Amino acid sequence: MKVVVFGAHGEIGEHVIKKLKQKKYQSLAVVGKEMQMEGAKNRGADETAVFEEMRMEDFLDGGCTVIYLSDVNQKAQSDKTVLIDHDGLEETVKKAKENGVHRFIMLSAVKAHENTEEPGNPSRIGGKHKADEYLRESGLNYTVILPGKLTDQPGTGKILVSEAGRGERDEISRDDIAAVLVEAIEIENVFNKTISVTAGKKEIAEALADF
Amino acid sequence: MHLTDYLVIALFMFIAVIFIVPIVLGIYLYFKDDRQKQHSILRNFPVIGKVRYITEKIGPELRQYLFNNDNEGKPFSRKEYQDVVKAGKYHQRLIGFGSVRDFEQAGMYIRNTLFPKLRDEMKVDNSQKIKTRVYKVDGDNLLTRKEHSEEKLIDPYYLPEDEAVVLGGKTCRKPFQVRGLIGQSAMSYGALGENAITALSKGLALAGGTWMNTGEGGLSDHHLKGNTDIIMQIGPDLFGVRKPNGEFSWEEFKRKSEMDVIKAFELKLAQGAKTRGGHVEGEKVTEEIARIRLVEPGKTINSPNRFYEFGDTPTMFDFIEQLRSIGGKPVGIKIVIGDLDALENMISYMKESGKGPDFITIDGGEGGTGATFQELADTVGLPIKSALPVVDEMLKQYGVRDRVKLIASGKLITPDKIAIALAMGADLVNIARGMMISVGCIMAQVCHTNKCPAGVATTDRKLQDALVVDEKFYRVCNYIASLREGLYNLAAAAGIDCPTKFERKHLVYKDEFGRVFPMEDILRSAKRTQLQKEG
Repeated sequence: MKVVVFGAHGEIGEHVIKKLKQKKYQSLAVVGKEMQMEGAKNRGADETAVFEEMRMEDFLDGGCTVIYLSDVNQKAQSDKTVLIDHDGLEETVKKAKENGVHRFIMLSAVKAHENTEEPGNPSRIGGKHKADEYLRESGLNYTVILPGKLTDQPGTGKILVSEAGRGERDEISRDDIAAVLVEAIEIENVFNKTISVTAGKKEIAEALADF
Repeated sequence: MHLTDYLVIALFMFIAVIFIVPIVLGIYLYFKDDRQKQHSILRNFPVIGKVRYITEKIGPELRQYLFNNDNEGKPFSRKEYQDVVKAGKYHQRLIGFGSVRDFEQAGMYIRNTLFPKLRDEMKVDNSQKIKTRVYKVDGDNLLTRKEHSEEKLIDPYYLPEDEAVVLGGKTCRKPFQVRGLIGQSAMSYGALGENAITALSKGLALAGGTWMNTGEGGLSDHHLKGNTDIIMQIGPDLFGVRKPNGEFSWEEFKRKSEMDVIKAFELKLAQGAKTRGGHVEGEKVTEEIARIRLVEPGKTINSPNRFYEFGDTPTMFDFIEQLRSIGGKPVGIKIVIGDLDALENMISYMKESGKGPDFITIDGGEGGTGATFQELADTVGLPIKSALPVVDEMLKQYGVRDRVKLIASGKLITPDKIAIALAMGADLVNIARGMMISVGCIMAQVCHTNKCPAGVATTDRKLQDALVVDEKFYRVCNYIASLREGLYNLAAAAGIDCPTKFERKHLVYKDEFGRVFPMEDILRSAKRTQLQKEG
């Protein structure tokens, strides 16, 4: 199965590409700039594409899965995984729907411990709602993952899955969150759900399946 | 008697002891010092004179920790020392509130460009992350300091395949390709203990893209612990590749060259610290050292300061040719630059004969891990910043620069110093003392006594307990990765996409009056002076 990774050049994207390779998925790395293509190739991406230069119709097709990490729109100038440009996401979701993408997994900008109902930074909360809403309304088979505080530690392969907005202020390594994104592709239990993921005690596949 | 009486008596006795003991001791020392014939000051001033000896004894420690400012202190200042320790321990090089460098003084500066390279534009291979351990500070108070070590994935900053440096690319059956610019300089097992060598070997292996030079003390099992790439050094004493009678053993050499981990050989003509030839006391020649070096145990070794195998450039080049044809691996020489005429002769012969070494390791006169004679360490040989451009220029002049790689060493322990060496003509850089610091050296300056308090430069089992291999080797790895990251930062600032592309034009020299000269001008004027002298 082909998996299209938006934001493959980011810190989490690096790990996601490697994990896809390990799991023998066909991967297409969508990066922000041409100069990032080589890096993605080195890490094991089967194909690479620059967001701006391609029409999404060219690479989104029925049967493919999307892992959406960050906005790859050049103008947004954000390599950062957590900054999601809503219009970029909106556009991608729309195109994904049109082209019959069958699975859409998104890493949310909202951290696991942030209560989405709480008044605070309006743009963030707005963003979260927007992302969720779009995905829900679109009718795509989606999963939104809210990570704990991201660290550079090596992955342990063990996580805790909890309901959105209810995760502790715990950490999770980028390595593990990448593994979660990849595992979530085929685990039906998390279809059409928003989940919080932090470091925990259960094996990733098990934790997702049992949630 | 009441209890209080006993207590009063006890109190009096206590006070008596407090006063009487020092007084008796003082009187004893007074007469002892007064009568001795060795120290003149003590004969005249037995009490005050004693103060002089005590303060002299603790002076170095006081200066290092209390009185020297952060930029003082030789061979390395407090700041330089801490830069190495922090890079190893925390994998970070950030500072606050600006540089403490004395900008009034003359010195080299790296020329930054108006439009530096973006991170994404750099040619670097970070696809394989390194799993290491770093320390995180939890709390730092006056008397306590809480920190814990945790696992971390760090970027290795390897050179991409097409920028890798290759030794002996055109001459050898098995060239040595390195994916990083920094390696460990020659430090023998014996000078450093087995714990230090093991920690270095494992740390360098974890970092990858680097190498370890065995030093002339031969290849020990400890060098092989981490399975890192090794450059085996051969000194005039031929340790590890000699017959019992002291001749060169081609058989042993062949055996060593067949080992996969040994990637190249280096003939040590001279070293910054030791232009005299080595000396090892018989008692230090243990069974193990004897086995590694292929000498007799318990017998004092006095090694020559020159190879018996060759005495001039042509015979040396023939020897190198033979080593290369039998070993199939790159062969280099390690030299200290002093006699420029002799150097020019050698380089011109390189051009004439088409032969020569695959790499030249230039040791600055400031080099040397420890035990040597003061007169040689202080005055023999040029410092690296003078030696390096001269050799680079001479090789270019004779058109043989592309046949040989230059490895520089001499106090190049931080990224900026390494970048300056690269810009001055080095292809690779060797570090010895930076590596020692990363495995725990505290600069006690007692390497020659076998009494290193940090357990680094000693073979004493008990002192080596200080050095825990499994804790220290991560620091070696972090230090190397951190240096390589720093080099990429500097390269980006200079407007080049890879640190291999540093050139002279990236350097400027500022004198003490603030005048700025391009590095190229300095070399040109040196050449002009040379010509005028000859004309």
